[in-house]
Amino acid sequence: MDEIEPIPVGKFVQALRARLRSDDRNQHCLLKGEISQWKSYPSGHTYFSLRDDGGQINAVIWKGRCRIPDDVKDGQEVLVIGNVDLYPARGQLQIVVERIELIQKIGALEQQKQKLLAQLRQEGVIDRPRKSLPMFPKHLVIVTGKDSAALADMLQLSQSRWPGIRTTVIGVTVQGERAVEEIVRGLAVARELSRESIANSLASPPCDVVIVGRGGGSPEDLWAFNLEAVARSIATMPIPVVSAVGHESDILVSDLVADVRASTPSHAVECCVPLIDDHLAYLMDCEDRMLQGSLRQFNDVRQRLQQLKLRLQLAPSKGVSQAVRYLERLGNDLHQRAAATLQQHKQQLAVLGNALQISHPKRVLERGYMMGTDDKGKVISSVSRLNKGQIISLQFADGEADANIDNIRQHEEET
Amino acid sequence: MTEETYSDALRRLEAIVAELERGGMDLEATLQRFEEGSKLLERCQEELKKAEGKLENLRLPDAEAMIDEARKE
Repeated sequence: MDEIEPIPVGKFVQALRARLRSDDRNQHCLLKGEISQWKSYPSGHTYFSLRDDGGQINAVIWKGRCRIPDDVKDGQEVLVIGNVDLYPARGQLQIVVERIELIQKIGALEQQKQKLLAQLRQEGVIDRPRKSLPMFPKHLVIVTGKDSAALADMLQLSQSRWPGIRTTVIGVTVQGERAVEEIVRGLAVARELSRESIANSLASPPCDVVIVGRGGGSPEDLWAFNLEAVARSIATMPIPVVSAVGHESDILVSDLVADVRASTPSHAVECCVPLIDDHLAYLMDCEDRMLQGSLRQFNDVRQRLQQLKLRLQLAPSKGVSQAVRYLERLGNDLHQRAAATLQQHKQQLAVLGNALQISHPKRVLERGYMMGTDDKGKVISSVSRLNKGQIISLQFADGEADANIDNIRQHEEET
Repeated sequence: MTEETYSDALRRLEAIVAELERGGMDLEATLQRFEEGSKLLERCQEELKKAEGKLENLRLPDAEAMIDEARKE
């Protein structure tokens, strides 16, 4: 097996360079990009990077190879014609520039825009508190391209949302040389319309919201809305201003200084013009709820009244019958209690009667005892009351007999 | 009616509606709320309906001329 010869790296890079340079596609390329890391050396050579969001490549302008525009700076967009080359000492791909041009218009305008934004930010215009939009604008002023499609869209949408809204359109030129001046003048008219005195003499409500804008277009077409005069006119307006320029993705200075930024002219109308049917429907709903609520209240009160009335009607008879029932109950109780007491007493009497019967002296005599009485009929209960020769009477159950006392024997008293 | 008073009127109306829906009021209070609510409602509806729908589509020079005229008065 043959060994693969290693290639010295220098040779490899040189071969690569030859291959790159031999391809026509790598020669005289027209490129567009932004300058970064621009650096001119005393040697007269200039190095920089050409970049955009997709990538970047190093570039070199050899001394005297091409004219370099004045005021070249990082961040500027340029058109470059050049050849792809490989710098062997570093193995670095680069464009050897044959020609370089600033994309003057946009580059300069963009710079101007950034400068204006920086200034406005410093003055506090960008971060100032914003005015809020009226809930129901009395007089909407639209400053936009006369007879433009954007205007037609806005008017149609506005009509469908609130046909009653008072609207004044000020048709201006929105692109080209005259655009800035006309937009500023249009805004000045809006400012006048917001004055009470002017509105009064025009017999209209004062303007209380302004839409300024235009439909989509190229960056150059929209550029008037990036300029200072328009920005300042918007920022100093005494009533809220909605900026609506181009499409969603276009962000202009006017958007950044206005009270509200709408992404499109139609969106501006959505911001400013209420859907009046929604509000009327809501009010009708309120009315309905208020009626229902009140009726329920009345019904509650009526029911309470009816209940009260019923109770009042029933009250007297109910009272009497209650009293009668109470008395009846009382009477029954009394009767029952009396009967019970009587019964009790009867029983007690019977018991007592028995007891009395049992303890009667006659009953004792019947059991074989006898009772002695003196001549006065008094029961003799002790021998101490007897004398020798005394005649006493002996009571038997079935008769009596006289007895003569012979001996008296008294028992010793027990201690 | 200014915008503030419209919002105030609406807020007051909403409060009354809530109160009436909650219930438990006597007859006099109910009547009083209902009358107040009706007035507020009428004012709000008028506000929305009274706009006359006038549209003026002017070119800039005409608009400026209109302002000049108004200034003279």
